[in-house]
Amino acid sequence: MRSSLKMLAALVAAAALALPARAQFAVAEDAPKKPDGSAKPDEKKGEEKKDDKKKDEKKDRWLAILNGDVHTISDGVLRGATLLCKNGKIHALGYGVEVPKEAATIDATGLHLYPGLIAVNSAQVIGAEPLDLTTDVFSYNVTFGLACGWTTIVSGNSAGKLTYGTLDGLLLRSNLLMRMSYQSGDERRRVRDDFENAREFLRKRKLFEQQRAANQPAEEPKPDGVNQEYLKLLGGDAIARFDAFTAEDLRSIAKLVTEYGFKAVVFGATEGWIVAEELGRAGISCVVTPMTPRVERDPRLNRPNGATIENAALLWKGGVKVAVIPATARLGTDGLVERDLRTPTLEAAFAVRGGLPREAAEAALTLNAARVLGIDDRVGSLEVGKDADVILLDGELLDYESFVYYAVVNGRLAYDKAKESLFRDLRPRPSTYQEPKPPEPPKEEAKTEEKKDEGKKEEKKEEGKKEGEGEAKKDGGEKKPDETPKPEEKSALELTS
Amino acid sequence: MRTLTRKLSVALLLALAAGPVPVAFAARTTAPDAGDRYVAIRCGKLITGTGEEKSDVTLLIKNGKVELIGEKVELPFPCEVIDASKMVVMPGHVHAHSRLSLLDYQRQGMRADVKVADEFLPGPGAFDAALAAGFTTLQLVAPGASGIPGRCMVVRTADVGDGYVIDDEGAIKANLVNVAQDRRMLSEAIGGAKREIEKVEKARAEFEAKKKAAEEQKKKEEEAKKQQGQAPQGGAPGAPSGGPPNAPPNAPPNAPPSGPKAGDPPKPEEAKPEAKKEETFQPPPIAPQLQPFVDLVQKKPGSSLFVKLGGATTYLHWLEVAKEHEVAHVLYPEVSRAFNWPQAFSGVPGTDLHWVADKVGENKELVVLAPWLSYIQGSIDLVNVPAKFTAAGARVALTPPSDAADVLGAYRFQVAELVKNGMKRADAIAAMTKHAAEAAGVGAELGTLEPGKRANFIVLTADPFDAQASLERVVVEGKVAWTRAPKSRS
Repeated sequence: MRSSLKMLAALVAAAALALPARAQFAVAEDAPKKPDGSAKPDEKKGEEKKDDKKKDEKKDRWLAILNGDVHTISDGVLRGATLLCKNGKIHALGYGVEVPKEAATIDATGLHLYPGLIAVNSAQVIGAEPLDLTTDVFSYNVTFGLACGWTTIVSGNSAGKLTYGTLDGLLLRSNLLMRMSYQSGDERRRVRDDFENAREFLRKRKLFEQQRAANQPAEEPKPDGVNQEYLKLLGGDAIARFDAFTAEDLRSIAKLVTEYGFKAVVFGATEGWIVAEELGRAGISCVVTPMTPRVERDPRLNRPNGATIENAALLWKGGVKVAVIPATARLGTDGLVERDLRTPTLEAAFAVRGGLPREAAEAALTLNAARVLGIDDRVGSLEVGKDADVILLDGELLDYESFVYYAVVNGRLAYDKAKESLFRDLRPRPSTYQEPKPPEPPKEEAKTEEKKDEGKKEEKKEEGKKEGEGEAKKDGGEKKPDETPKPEEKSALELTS
Repeated sequence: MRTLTRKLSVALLLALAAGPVPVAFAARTTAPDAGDRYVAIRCGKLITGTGEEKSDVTLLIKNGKVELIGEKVELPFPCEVIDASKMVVMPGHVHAHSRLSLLDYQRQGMRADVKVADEFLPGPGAFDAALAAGFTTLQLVAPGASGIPGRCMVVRTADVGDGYVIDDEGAIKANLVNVAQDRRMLSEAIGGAKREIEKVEKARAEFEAKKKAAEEQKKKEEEAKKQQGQAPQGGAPGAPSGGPPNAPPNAPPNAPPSGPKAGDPPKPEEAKPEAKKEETFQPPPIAPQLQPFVDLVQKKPGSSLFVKLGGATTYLHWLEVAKEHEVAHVLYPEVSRAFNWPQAFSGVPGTDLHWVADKVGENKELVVLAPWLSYIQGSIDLVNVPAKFTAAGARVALTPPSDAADVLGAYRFQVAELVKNGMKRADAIAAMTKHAAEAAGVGAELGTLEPGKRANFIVLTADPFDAQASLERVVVEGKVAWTRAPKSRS
């Protein structure tokens, strides 16, 4: 009797083990392969039975943005291409990308995809340091920032993402830049001393290493009195930030950078156009506000001086990486009048007016801004492997008429213009976002179909195109033939079964 | 004597108030000590709080606890009868976040060692306002909106013979409002408790090892003794001795350290307790501030965390904390109130809690909320956060947002407004009764009217959500604690 019970228990245990194992297999198989429409009912059931939380952890998060004009910034424009995100990273980009059927989708027909904009400076938009503990991810600022095109914002000395509604991936990187003052004689002397000390130490250490390699007796140098930050700078592990405006200051900074060979970025650089080539040769990046108040040439100075709208263009010509930031670092609601984080593209457009090529102006808000902050390994352009931070506009980025319709941060839809009350009623456009399809419920499919029926003709057309591509809709399409095509009847059937 | 007269007068008052009483008062004559004290309430309608609403039933109470509920109940002989046959009876309200009778001040930092009970010195009539609004139980919470200000306590609003205190070591209050400070403090408190537990475990393991070693040594020595006949015994008395049965044959020791023993070697009884004393493990002292958290981490019954949250983001942070360490908890998020329109246009803060309703429901949280409609953040669109939470699957306890008499008095009507705006009636009743008691940590003995639970209830002239309903009586543990003044009856 007891043995039979044991056997029963063993059987039950085996069955229990078998179920999840099978389900795992199903997921693993589905994800990379092109999904074949034939549903596998057994496996689906197995998946349902699994613990919900576990399923969420294991499941890959897919988002496909279909048929949009992808402005990669780093590598030209791909018209009508598909961008596929997996678990917050860009997984694939191009034509004929296979989209897994469980992916959430945005039909971006007629929309332009750009990498999310990067604000190299901000005030009171997201939290202060520590960014990840002080940011209210449901705050209005986050939504508003996304609506303006930003996805990454620097606050204090950390870069944070505008991850609406989630804390995942909120903090991108902290300790971005090392602030340095290099203006007064005292400051210059101190900075140079520190650099000298650090360089001397590095020389000694190199010598020591060589001697040790050659088995010669040597004393290891001690980093006493050496500023560790400067060691980092000389080692290329940190980026220095200067705030400088006059040609004089910029020239001396260029000299310093050339002499010690470290990474540096200058904020301001109003008279950068005068020393553009020197800055370019030193490899300095500049963060500029293209339309600064005009400063006429001061005739008392026996040299070029003053501010000009051509600053960004001339810097670019001199080989300087230029990033653009609006005049004020807040996020107001005053539109075009108040030039703050509300109007990033306006600022870049001013640079174009001053002669900067459009591509460079686009990069000034994205890739170059990322380079300035040293986060270009994560954000700044649309490349496979980078973070899936994408904004979708109905026009070119620098067109003053363009609206942000969707913002995707870390592969999640963080802003949908049609669903937020902010700009919902201005130039409306129905949302084409479709939730990720859970593998089990045919009921849900019926629902989405109903929704589509309600939707406008345009949407239907887009849907048709999508079906033509074959990925997103295949599941529903395959199932239709054996049932009647009417969604109501189908759902009723599903309910009874 | 005085209590007896008071009771007599109460009973008389009852008799007057209740009008025609079908059953004769017998309780009057018997002293309470003589036997069990029975009270029967004939209810026109009884809302038990368990989801049932019964008509024309009798609620029988024995010694302050619900004995049974039935349509035809045979009453025991000495039994006080309250006639509420045209009225509605429901469980007394539970206020899960009160500071009534306590001084208002801020407390900083991590002070889980401090109890509200230590500052609990209620003056006469301290809880009358709550009582008059139908509240029979209060959870008095620790002060302050930052850090971990101390342990809450649970009191009854009327002293019916046992004093006020129900539980003087209630939940630990923790704030998670200013996340940058509070989250670290909370994580450190829980982490610290875990370290303390590890410390005790380690000490215990060391103790066990030592004991074993001592035992072995002793055995060896005994063997040696057997071999040598009678041999002096070494440092054994200092170390905890082994199995007690081995102790008696230890025989007359000559060694100097065992001097006291030498006086009376033949008595094994004396040796035994000493040995036992040494045996018992003395855990290293735990920091008093961390002791409540140690209980919490060890999941001792009754230990719980009462977490005050800010908006939706703080809930996400709470999830992160809860991911690291799973502890029993009740959440108390701030819900901003939708004030009147002119204020709404000038930037009244809205709420964002409804945006995490799914997650709150998914985690089956027990959430204490103020019975308010709110504006959605950044707009003047209204949202019913309690309704959203209950619909998502969370357990919601509704509690007045302050202790002001008018706020307490408006409690039922504020809940009624939530019902009007989409909260299910059953959910609202549960939120006022069962879940409110659970939120105060006394769900096992209060909150609903079920056999075995304390008989705390209120008598209303009409349905609790009816604006015309007025409170007739408040009964705390079977004793009438408040009756509507006769003058207001006109």
